[in-house]
Amino acid sequence: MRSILFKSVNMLILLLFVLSVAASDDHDDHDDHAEEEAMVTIDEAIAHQSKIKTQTATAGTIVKQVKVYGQTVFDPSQISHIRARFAGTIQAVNVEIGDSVKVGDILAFVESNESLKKYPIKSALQGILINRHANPGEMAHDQVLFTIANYQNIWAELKIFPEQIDLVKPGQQVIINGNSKTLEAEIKHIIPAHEQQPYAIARVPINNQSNTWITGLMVTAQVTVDSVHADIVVPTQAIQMVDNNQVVFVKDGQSYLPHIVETGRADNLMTEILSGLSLGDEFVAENSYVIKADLEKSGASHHH
Amino acid sequence: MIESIIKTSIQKRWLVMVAVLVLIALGLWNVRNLPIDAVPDITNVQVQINTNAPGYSPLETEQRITYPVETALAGIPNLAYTRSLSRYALSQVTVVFEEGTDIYFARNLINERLGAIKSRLPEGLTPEMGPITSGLGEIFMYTVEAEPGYTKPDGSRINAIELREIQDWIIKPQLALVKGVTEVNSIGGYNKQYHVNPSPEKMLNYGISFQDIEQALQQNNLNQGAGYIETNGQQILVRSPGQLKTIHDIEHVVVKTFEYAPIKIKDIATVNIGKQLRSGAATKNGAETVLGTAMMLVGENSRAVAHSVAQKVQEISGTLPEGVLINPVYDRTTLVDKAIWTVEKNLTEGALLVIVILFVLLGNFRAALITAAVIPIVMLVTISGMVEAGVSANLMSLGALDFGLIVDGAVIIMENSIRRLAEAQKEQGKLPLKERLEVVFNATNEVIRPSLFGVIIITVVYIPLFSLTGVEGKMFHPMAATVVMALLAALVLSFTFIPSAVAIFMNGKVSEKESILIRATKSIYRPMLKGAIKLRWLVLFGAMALVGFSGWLYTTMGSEFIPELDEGDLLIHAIRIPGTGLDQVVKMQFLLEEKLAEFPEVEDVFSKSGTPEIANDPMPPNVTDTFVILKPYNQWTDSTLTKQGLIEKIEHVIKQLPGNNYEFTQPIQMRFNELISGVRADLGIKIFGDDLDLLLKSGNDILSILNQIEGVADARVEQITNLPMLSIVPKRDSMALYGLHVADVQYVIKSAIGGTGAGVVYEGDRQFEIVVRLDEDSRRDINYLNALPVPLTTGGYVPLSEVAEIILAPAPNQISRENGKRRVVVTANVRDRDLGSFVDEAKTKITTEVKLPAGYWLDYGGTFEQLESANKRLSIVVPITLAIIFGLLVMAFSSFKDALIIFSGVPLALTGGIISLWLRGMPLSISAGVGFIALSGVAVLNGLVMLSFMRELWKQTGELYHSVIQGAMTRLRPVLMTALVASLGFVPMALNTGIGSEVQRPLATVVIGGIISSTILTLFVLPILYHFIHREKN
Repeated sequence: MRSILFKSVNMLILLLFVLSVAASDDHDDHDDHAEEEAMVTIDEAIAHQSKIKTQTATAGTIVKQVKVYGQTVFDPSQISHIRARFAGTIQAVNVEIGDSVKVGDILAFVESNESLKKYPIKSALQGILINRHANPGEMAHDQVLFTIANYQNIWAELKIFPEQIDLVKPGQQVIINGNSKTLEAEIKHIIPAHEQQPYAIARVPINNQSNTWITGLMVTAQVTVDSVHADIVVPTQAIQMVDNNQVVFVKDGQSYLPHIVETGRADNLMTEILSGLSLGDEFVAENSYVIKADLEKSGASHHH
Repeated sequence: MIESIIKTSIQKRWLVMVAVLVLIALGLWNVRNLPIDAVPDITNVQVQINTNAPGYSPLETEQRITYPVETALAGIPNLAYTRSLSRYALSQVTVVFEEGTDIYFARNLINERLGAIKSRLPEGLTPEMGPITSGLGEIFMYTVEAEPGYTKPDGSRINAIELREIQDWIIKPQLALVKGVTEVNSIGGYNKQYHVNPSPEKMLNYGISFQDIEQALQQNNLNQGAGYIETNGQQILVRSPGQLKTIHDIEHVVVKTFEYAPIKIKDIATVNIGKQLRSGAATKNGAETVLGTAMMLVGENSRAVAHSVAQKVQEISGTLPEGVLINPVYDRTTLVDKAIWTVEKNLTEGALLVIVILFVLLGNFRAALITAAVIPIVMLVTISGMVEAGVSANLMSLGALDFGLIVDGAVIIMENSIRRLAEAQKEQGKLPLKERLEVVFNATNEVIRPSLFGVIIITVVYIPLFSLTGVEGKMFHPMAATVVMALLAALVLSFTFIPSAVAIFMNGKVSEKESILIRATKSIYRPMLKGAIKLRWLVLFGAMALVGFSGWLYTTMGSEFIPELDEGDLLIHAIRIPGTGLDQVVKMQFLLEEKLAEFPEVEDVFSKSGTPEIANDPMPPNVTDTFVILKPYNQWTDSTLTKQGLIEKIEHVIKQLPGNNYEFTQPIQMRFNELISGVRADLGIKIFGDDLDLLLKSGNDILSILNQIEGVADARVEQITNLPMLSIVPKRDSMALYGLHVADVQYVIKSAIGGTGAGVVYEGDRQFEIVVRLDEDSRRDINYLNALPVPLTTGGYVPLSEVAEIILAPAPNQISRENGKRRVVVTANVRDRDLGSFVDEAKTKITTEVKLPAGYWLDYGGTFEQLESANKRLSIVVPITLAIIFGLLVMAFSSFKDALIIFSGVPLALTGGIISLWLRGMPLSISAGVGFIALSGVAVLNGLVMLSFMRELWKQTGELYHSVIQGAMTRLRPVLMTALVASLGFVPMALNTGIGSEVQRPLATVVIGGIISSTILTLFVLPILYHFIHREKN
């Protein structure tokens, strides 16, 4: 645009001059982009103000986790449905729902229809009475009179979908979260789901001595599927993509050099570095984006 | 005809006076209506259509919104072209109309079309037209901040959400009512929203889906009117208030009953006041703030509007809640006042100088006063004309006004009148009225033709300026129009007002003491002229050498467009790599602002990152407009520091900050660039097509060819830069297994990450959205998304990773379209080579070597196109103009030779202009060019006056030599006078260093230098030439 106007005035003047038109076409405002060097230099104070923080490369552990959901259930071995051995009339009931019972505690007396003798019905399980279908005078046939459940040992049944099934194995550690409580446990076994659902179930025993867990609760679980020692690990946020390569910036004085790295296993926080970084290298652990931004900024322009 | 007008003016002299008084009154009235601005408005007639589409990615925006909107606009009358931009959450279609289209008409047409396509757009999205404003529209900016150190009664600080609420609901509605304000734009802070952050685990627990929550909120947030009942003669209105008002209300909405237990929102979610997903942020002096911008209605008086906005802001500041401050940070009035002050100062000082010169040279106080009176009258008439023509008063339009030039015609007539009156009085003593009128008539008539021609010629030389189009046209048309109006007004006055005023006021003894100056000059001039005629070869050769020298000088000079108007403030575009997040940008901006604020010359720093609420400037988040408000220059501690020097210092410091690229500009300049926004390079090759990858590939092919052509510079392909994008691609087979539809999965993703609106909370007038989405930590965690449970229709759930693939891959960050088709632009500049041949070579090479995919096409544009058309136009207009001038001269003298002699004054005049520019070290510029234009006019006028007298004398006496000498001697005074007034009128302009003076300085410099050379040469070369050419006839 500048040059049109300039030219037009040129023309006018030149024509007035009755000289020949020999206008030049200058562009003097173009700055040459210096060939970028693959290195960023940042003053120490400014690096500090930019909150660029470095760390030394060390060995570490990569803990790979998978998140799954599930539900807490009774332990089938810890639930007891008590019936009358002989049909008869219930004479007396000693317990209420919610009572704790021990093995051998007498729950009720029944008068047998056949022998007309009173016999006690005893608990075979230590636990809590959670169901009572017996009142004095009622007939006891073969219905369940009492249900006793023991909550001290319950299970979490975690749904493992096909995507995760190769990763999750019995014996792996699980962190279970439910109702804002957390506990650590171990996968006992993995079984197929009921009714041919497209997932497997990982069963995890929960020790509930403190009685803080209930059954039927939705839980989330972090299964530690892999925990390995790695020679060099860096925080995952230290890794940036530059020209489709993963790089870590290594600090040398006031210079930051992008090292192209090969990454191995990774968890939520840390990533294993297979090559490109040596132990003891000082690398940028926080705000590495700023350095990437500086490295690539020559290409950043604003077109209207 | 002119004769009869002069006669009538002299006879009906009082009537003329009354008419002049009416003109003055009209002018004074119009002064109040004259729009005043710093620079001319160069915005084209355009309407922006913005559609906010929260959550839409560029590709979806283009497909679902931009395309239908663009198609609807096809075939609108007066349409020049459309271009569009599809970004994250924003579609912007810019419709540019032919010049001269009424903006309201255009908007009406668009409105009609938009109404018709409403049903074709996704539900809930409405395209809206941008504010009716122009590049000069952003006249006032303010920040809303918390008072430093203030804490609310509960001990907390006022946060950015609250500040934004105050801006949106207290300040903005009031400012929007100020007359002349069309819109108030906000950026920064966060729109207040009520956030319901459900926990997916808890939702699973109770079998509740996002839909359930949304539905529950919508169904439990209603007020219902139920008519009225009449009881005991009373009419009672019935209503059922059921709207949610507080967080507590929201928490207690029942979502579902689960085995007799009501499940409330609070059982599965947390409710809080949250932050919107914002597209822009504002910062000031290293802290977040809320920035408001008042935008002026197009065509309003920016100074007046900015002033009333400032007043309103002042009023509002008293009514704000405790601890909240409103700070004006940018006020256009400052700049306009400074610029207008510069112009006013120049004009007043110029006018005063002219009056002094007139008095000194005419030697008659009354005569000087009458001539000087022409100045204010012309000014007022011009103002009326400007108001009528819709030309605003600014540096450009008033920048070429030279009162010296304007009064030239009047001076010539006045000079002749008093000379003749004095002569007549010398012969007859005091003249009776009738004779006096006769003398005035004769005197006027004698010089009216040359001065009329002269002024007409000066007017004609401005014609080429009218042939400029586009931005240049908008810049210079007002200037040309104003000057032409002033000249025409002065012309009319010179043969109406001047003779009648002379007739009325010069009734006493006309003392025409030739001032000592003139007498002295005359006594020097005569021998010099005689000598010059003798040594005519030497003089002519000298003159030609001078022309040759300055012709050479001209080719060595640098050039610039127009000297940049110094706005007194800086605007720094801070640019980061595409894909940089807003929070990261804000952090980087804090540091930048802190560094800038450390400069003692800097008064204030504030910035806008990303796009404001009304996307008049749709910047991506990685770009920040940093406004650096400078202290007035006289308050700078280092008085030797120039603005350029400061920029260099600043650049040096901020270049050390990592990750930022900078472009320096100024606020108004930037707005113009944004709005005009065509291809600004010499050559722009647009590739139109469908597939972005193919477009980019073709673009790169063309780029590599351009790079091989000699003379290429800065060749680049438009950045369709890649933005990191998380694509959640449904796995259809897997979904079928679980009985899910794509939409089910997408709904979960949308609700979880982007959030879904679930109604509105009303607080009085204020409305705040209720948004259901995951809490910040969860939605930021990409790993978390893998495990996000998707509820199944059969009950139960499946993790997202099971039914969708989550890929982090780059995608286009914006899609540009033009005239309804996707396009990619390859631009290049040309250095050290003729643009035309470069373009031809590029065209041939591209045609032969690049194979475009079928259905793709190219369009060549860029400056070269405008240059071609401008050159074509000028190569017609300039010769025609010259021919007209020449024709006029021939008409005036009915002699080809004489016309040529006068014409010779033009190159002589130009030499002085060039030399003076060179002496002051100024580059050639358009402003200087306008100076040359004015100069050619003055030169012709001088020659005309001189030559016509010699001719008359020669005709009367028949003796050439003496006629030449005598004619030159008689015309010495008027020539000197016109030259002196014209050049001195520009002296203040040439010397001023105030804001805005940089635009006028080259012009004034050229005129002053040129007039000096032209006058000297007119006085010597012209008589020599005349004598030389006509001598054999004698």
